[in-house]
Amino acid sequence: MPSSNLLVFDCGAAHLSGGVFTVEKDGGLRLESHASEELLANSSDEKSWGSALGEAVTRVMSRVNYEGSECVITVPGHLALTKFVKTPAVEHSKRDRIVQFEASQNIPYPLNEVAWDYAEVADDGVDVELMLSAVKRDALDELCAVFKQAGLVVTGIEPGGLAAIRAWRTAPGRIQDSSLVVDVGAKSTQLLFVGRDNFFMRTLPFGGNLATQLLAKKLSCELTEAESLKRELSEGGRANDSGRQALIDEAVMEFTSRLQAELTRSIFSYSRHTEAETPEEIVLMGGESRLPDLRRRIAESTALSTRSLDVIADLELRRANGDEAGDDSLLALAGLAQSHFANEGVAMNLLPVERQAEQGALRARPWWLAAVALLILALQPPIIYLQLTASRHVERSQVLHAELGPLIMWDARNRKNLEQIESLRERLGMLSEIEQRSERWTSFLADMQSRLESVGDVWLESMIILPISPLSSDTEEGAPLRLGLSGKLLDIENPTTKASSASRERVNQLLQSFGESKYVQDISAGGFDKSQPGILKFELTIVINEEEAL
Amino acid sequence: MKALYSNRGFKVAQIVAGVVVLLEGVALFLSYASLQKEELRERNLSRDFRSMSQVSPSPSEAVARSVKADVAAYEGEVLCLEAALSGGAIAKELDEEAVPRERTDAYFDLVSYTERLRTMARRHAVQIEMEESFGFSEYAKEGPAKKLIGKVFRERQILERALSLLLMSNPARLTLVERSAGSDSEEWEEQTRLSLAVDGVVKTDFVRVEFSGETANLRSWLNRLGQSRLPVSVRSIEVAPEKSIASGNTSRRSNSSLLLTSELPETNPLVARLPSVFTVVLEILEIVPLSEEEDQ
Repeated sequence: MPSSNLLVFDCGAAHLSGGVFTVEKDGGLRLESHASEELLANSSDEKSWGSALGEAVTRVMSRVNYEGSECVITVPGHLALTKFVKTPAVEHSKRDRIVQFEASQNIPYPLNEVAWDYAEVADDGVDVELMLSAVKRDALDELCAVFKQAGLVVTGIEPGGLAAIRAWRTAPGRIQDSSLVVDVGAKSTQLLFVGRDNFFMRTLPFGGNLATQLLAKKLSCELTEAESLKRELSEGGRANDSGRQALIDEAVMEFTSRLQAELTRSIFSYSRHTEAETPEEIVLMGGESRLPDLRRRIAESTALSTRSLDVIADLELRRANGDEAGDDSLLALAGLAQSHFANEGVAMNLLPVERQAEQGALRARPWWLAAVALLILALQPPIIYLQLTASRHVERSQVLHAELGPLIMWDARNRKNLEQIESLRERLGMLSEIEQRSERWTSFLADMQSRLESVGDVWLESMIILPISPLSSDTEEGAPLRLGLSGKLLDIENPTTKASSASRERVNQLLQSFGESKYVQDISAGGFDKSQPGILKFELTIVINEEEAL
Repeated sequence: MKALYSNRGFKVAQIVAGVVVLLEGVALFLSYASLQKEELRERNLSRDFRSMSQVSPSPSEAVARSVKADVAAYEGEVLCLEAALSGGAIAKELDEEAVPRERTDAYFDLVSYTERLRTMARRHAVQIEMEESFGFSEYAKEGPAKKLIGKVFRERQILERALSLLLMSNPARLTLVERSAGSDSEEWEEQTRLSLAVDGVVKTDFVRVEFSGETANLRSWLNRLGQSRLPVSVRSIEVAPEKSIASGNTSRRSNSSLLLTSELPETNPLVARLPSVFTVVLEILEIVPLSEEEDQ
């Protein structure tokens, strides 16, 4: 997803143009702001070009309204090497290896010393025409460093010619299907053959600086003076001195002738390509294309319709401030913006892969940081929630523990004391039982005595504790106490009668009385002896009540 | 993106972020575990608290004090009853007597005991055997083993008082005094089922006393024993006519006693009044102190 606005720069040998583009809802480009600066550099000094470019970048940045940090730039023609090669049409997966081979063959430098890329110009199914472009890495690094000093990050580099071709192929003002755009720069001149289905580009190793040098030579003056004179001529000025004007005309004629020759040769050469379409018009552009009579002479020599680029009209570029003024570099700037926003047309990026990766990494870094921060932060709420909840439980537990502590202590004491009470109660019960039983024999005998007295004239002669019968199921501890009693009953009223009815009645009375005793559980008569008149001997067995154990 | 991954700073950031996330994961796990633990703890405490509110008696200081007071009351009752069973004032009197320290001292203590009872028997005209040793025949020629001195002395103290009370009840004849501690244990097996001994509460020893006389002598003795508060308990009483166990012996008194009798006609005796032989088994009680029981 491209950013909403884009800063693009067209770097030339003698100028720098910068523009901020946005894309409108209908997909059309809109130029938000634009600035162009001349490079104040000695044309013969390569090193001063970099510093001049840096100053120009700063000036341009001060004039355009851009808050971002990324930009896309063109590389000037004199720094870029462009080759068109044909390779067999192979699968795309194998194409990179073939292109790699072609690059190594056609780029006259070790590939690790250049930044290079390619673009497919045409593919007829048999052959693929490729455009190879390369820039020396040190030059590219210097170029990137210049922009970096201005606080910009270069995210794309493209040959200016290719950008111009892309813009021109879609330019509404393009009248003919096939045209030749001649971009006359300071140090080089680019010939852009733009057809319906293909294009070709050739860089001539001379530009407006050649005219300057010729002027300086003819007039025997400094290059700066010759440059100023050239600019005056371009704006329609003439020398006051007719001799001097003649020398100037000669210099311009010499430059124009050389350009004419190269154009003618290039057109002828291009026309020999099988797929080539002969240009139907020539469009002149570039700061050095305004030399006097240049357009007329080219038209005469090539016999083609020749005109200067009217960038505003040809591109129908929408502008934010309504300013209709513009320079020819807008063509390349528009081409860069098209590639960025619409991602259409043939494009390449000379920015080394590792730098692209770095840019990608730089772009991705905030997202990664955000993702990591989000991940880290995402775990914080549950941790905090769990800890808060746990601390609430701890607080409640402490309260409960504080309340429970005394209760547990009292409960433990109560339990211990209750156990002690139970033990004491048990002991008390046993002691009470012992106390009661220790006196029970006396009470039992007193009870028997009173019952005998209630019957009257009866006494006991013996009392023995009967042993536990071997046949009994009772155990020794559980066996009730059995007493064997024997005694006599005196029948005073019938002293001569043996076992009178009165005696029988009194015996029964005695048995009943004994049976009613709380000490007696059971009573049984063992036998009677009536042999003696008036005396009835009896034997009894009583079982002692277990609840009143003796 | 490859450049991003291969970037050293990014790698460090990745590691740091990974460590932070890992630590956060650990913290999350530990927090969760801590939460579970604290939840469980609170749940257990709440359950304990609820169950405490249902505990009876209620765990409060007032109730604990009340329960403690109950303990003291029961202890008082127990001590009171133990003191009563131990003899009360008699027990104190017994404790004040000096225990012989050596076998010889114990021997002479028993000799003195025998002599005192013999003298008393003569004074109350109670027949006794010539060599009667009043339950300590095994020590007729030597004192008890040193470890038994205390026990024998205690039995002697109690027996002297019990037999003195018997002699004061004027029986016709004292025929037997036998201690379970000094005789064959098989002879006392029948008595064990009547014993008051309870482990940890009361330790006992039996003494069998056989005498002849009338019911009144028995009644008098039993009453005297009851009033004396001696730590003895009557465990069995057997009665038989004297003739059945002492056939041929002539009663000291012509009007021998009966065991239990109603008012008998004095003017027209249809039945001769024969003396009875009473066999009384006493059980000497020794209360096991509460503290000693708890130690056990």
